[in-house]
Amino acid sequence: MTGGVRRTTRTAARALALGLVLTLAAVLVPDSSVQPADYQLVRTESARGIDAADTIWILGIGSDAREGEARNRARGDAIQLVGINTRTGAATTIGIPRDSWVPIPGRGTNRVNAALYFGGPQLIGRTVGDMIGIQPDYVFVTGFGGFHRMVDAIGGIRVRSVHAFADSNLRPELYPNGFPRGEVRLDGEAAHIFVRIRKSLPDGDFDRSRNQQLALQGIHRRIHNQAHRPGFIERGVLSVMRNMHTDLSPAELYRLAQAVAQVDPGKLSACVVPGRTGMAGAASVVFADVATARRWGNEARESAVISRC
Amino acid sequence: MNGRTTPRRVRGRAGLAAALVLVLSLSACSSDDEPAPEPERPGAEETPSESVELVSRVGQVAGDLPQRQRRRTVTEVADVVDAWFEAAYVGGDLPRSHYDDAFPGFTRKAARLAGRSMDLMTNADIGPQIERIEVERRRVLVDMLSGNGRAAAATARIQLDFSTEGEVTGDFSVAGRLFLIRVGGDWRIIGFDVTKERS
Repeated sequence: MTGGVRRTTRTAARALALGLVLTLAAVLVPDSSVQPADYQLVRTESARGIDAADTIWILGIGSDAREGEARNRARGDAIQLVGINTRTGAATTIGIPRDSWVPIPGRGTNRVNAALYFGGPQLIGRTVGDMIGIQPDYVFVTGFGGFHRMVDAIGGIRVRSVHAFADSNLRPELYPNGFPRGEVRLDGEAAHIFVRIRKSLPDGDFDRSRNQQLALQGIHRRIHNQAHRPGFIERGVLSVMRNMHTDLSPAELYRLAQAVAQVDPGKLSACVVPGRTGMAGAASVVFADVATARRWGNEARESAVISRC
Repeated sequence: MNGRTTPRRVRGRAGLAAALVLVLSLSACSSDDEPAPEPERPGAEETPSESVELVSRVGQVAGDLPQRQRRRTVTEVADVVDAWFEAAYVGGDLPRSHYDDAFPGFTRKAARLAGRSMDLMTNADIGPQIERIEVERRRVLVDMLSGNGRAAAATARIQLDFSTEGEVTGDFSVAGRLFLIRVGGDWRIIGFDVTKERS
């Protein structure tokens, strides 16, 4: 564990990233009762702070469960370990290729994403924690259907795609040539495709993990920019309470949500654990560079910053 | 808007003292959720600032919360916020140099964090240079999160406008959001996003 306040590994089913869920029930109606300032401003300064652990680590899992299936007993298609430093506003994301061949406590060696199937959020939390050297404080699990709906709920996101790539499921009227390189606007459906596609990407599973990070950053930017709207955080937390099983109290979810909202979009870093593809028996797997992963973990454990991937 | 207006007359320091007693007569809590140290209670005979009505309203409510709970929550949260307005900005003897107890109702850690921005989160930057404060507006709108039929968390959207006289004469506005949760049955400020502006 990383220490600090209430740093137990609470691993009931939770969302891929709390920030995503915060928007589910949001009706973004500006409150006209707050009157605009009627004076000329010559100096403006602001102060921000949140009473939370100095560093919070959240493991976000995108389960491959289909609608109606148990999210917690499927396999994890998206695996992102997110660190937040509440003092500095920095955050970092470490992407783990889902086929990484790693020890799973009590289950021998297998693909990392199988840990969710074998032992639910607790076991995949321990597995990734052992791999990176940072045990997550929270594990959030969501299905891809939920991801789709949540992106739509916030009105879509913008990402800066590193690659141009296409997929047969993309609507041609919106993306006649697939996703272009550069800035792309994504609705929920397109975002879902953006984070799942790997075969048309030059670096396969690694590029997919990078795209997942781009999507998370795009979502966070939206959340960060909306958090000041009246009731936005409260509605998001209520959505978490209604749509997910969680053992966190509403007040603790609210505290966590405010911590997420205070992350500075300009202080984000993101890296994907490198590795080489190979065979483990009949299975095609990734032999992850665990030494690099742990080096990043050591650097980011308290700061939530990785200076260089 | 589903709220109501709760005008209250802030009666100088006597009113402040009552609010502070209410806010600070808190049950013992653990760790960082413990209340910040109690501020010094000012004397009742002095009036360092002109009074103005505090307007508090229900803002956005997420979840089912009976009207009575909403009203109660607004009152309780407004008391916490107003205690901070007094302790940090418009209360105390003027000129004022000490703002050590400026954060009643904050958790200890939140008070520490606020203490890193004393010039914004208090009047420490101008207190020694002002002789009079006139409060022009106090406003609190309270967004609430319902959990198990009661308010579990709240965001106080605040505005405090005041003018000063003395070596520093000007109009100031403090605005933003305070984040509160219940700790041991009482509301505590666990975070903030506040601006202080001088026009």
